[in-house]
Amino acid sequence: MPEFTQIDGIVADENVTFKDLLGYLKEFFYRLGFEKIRFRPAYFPYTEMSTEPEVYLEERGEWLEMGGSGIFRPEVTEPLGIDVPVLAWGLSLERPIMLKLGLKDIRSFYYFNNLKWLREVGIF
Amino acid sequence: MALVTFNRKDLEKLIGKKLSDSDYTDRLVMLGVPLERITEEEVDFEVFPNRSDLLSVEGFARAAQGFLGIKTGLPQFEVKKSNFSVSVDKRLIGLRGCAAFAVAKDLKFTDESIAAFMQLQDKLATTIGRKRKKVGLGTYDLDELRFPINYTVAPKSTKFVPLGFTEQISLEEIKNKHPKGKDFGEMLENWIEYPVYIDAKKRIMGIVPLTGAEFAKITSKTRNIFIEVTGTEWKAVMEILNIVTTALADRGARIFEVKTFYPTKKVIHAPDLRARRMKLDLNYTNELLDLDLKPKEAKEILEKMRFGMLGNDVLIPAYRTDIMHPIDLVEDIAIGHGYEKFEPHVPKIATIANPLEKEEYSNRIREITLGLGFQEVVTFILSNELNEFEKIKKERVEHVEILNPKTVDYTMARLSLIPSLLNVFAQNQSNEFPQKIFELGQTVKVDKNAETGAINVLKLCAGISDSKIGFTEMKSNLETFFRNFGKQHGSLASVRVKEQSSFTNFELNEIDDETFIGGRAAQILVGGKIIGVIGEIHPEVLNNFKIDYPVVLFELNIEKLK
Repeated sequence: MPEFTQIDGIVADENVTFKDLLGYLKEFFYRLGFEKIRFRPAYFPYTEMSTEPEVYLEERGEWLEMGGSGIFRPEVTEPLGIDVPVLAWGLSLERPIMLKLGLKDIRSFYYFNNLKWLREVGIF
Repeated sequence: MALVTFNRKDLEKLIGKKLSDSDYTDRLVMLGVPLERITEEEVDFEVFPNRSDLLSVEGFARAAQGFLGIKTGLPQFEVKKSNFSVSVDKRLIGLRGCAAFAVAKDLKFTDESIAAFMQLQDKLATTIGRKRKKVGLGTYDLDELRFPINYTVAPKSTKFVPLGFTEQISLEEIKNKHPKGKDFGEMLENWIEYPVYIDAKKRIMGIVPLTGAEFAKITSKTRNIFIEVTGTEWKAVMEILNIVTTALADRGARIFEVKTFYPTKKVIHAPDLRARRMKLDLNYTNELLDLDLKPKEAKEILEKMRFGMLGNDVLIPAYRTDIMHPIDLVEDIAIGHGYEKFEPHVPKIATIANPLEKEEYSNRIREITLGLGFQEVVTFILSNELNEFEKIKKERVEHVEILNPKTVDYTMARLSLIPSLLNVFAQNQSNEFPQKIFELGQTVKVDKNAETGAINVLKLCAGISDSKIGFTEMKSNLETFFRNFGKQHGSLASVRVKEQSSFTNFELNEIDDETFIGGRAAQILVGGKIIGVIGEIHPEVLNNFKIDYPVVLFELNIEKLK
């Protein structure tokens, strides 16, 4: 896949916390229709805490990773003159849509552009 | 990232408890190790680069013991004094001069533990060692070696019997005859002589970082081993040595110090398995995590994560080199507390959000075009010269090229949406007609004045393909588009666009453009400015894309509509 959709978010404020980060992400996935969501610890060099949100797929009986997120490390924000916590996430759009529509091949999005399929599938 | 495979029986024996599948899938993953595969015999975990200590089954068991509450607190490791020593040749300084060693005695290898030990060496050299480039490591049967050992260089013609061989071959031959030499030999490309270890009996123990000698190889019968870690960066060398020695210590080995003598008279004592200290800032932790942990609770959590506490100081085990800043302790407290126990909540920040004007603008364009009965498609911004120039019969112009492209399909950023749309028509020749599609997408234009040398240009391209279709129909679509576009009403009233009249008074200027059929193509002008093109696609172009039906389309430069 030479190109894909990335959904990035950044929130900086004096009193934001780790729970706020989880709140934004939980709400986001809930509104996409995923009810069972968990946050697994992860690692990115520039965030601490780091977490990868996962949604549970009943039909497959497993958790699926949906993206990366975290709070920027102070070493990352301080040189920019920011001394408040900065929450951040980077999620993909293709994966949740594939799950919703039951797509097996991620290339369905861009390579094929099959007009008949696009017409039938409607708006996500 | 590295994928490790652990034998479940071995791991659970080290942990000291029989674990169910859900202990793995629901509990251990919350330590920050995605579970990739689980069977009755084995588990595969993905280990992130900050926790290289988890690459060893022993280190993993150690962390799991704490996390599951089986054994908590700081693990203690004793390093005994000894007379083992290695001296480093001055010719290696600055090339591969960071070297540290250890001795482990009284090992009792089993089939599982020796397999785990081999996997650990391989994973460490691949990850922290950057495929042995930064650091490599070797292990030898201690009883076969005579000290002191020399870390030096030897001529390429020097011969010895490498691992897995029965006959002597030269150091140079290792590079194309030995499997590890083939894999990693390139690293020694510019060396005049090759780095080797030589023991007190003048025997070559191994060529760094490729392979050891057959005579000192580790087998399941080996009881005592010598470990060498050699590389270009001290931190990584010590990290690997610490991870290996603590793993062996957890298997019951006794660890002995080895002194390294440097030509500068510097002497290094390794391994150093003492805990480091860092102050715990509980206020900072509680604020960032929105928790109200008391010192006693924080201590319990940290001990669960295998740290120790001494007053206000956290004692950090030697293998946790990832703890650099108080924030790293905060994260370990969060993991120890359990991410699943945090109650997510939407923050109480009073702001009113507004979409970017650019997005409102795009939404408006989409709404109108959809209203005209066009179906939206999304295609790649990356394209190739054949599509962008040859197939649509355009002269080549300066464009943004991709450096070292991976495939011939994507070699440049597109200049126009027309080839993209024609490709979609081509892919849909077997679908129902008429086909009415549009794309609102980015194109990229070279611009010497831009900071990056190029700018993004948002364009709209709408096209119809059918057996009977013509310029007039597309023109009426364009008219309707413009009539709606200039209206100031509804939810889009906040979007500033030009007066409606400036759009409804658009002009068409006939042009000669080889992409289109002569006499059926025009430039679109608004207020005297060229903002796009409209026309019937030339049959030759249709042929180039293998499209059987006529296509008529318009393309607008949206940046110029604002």
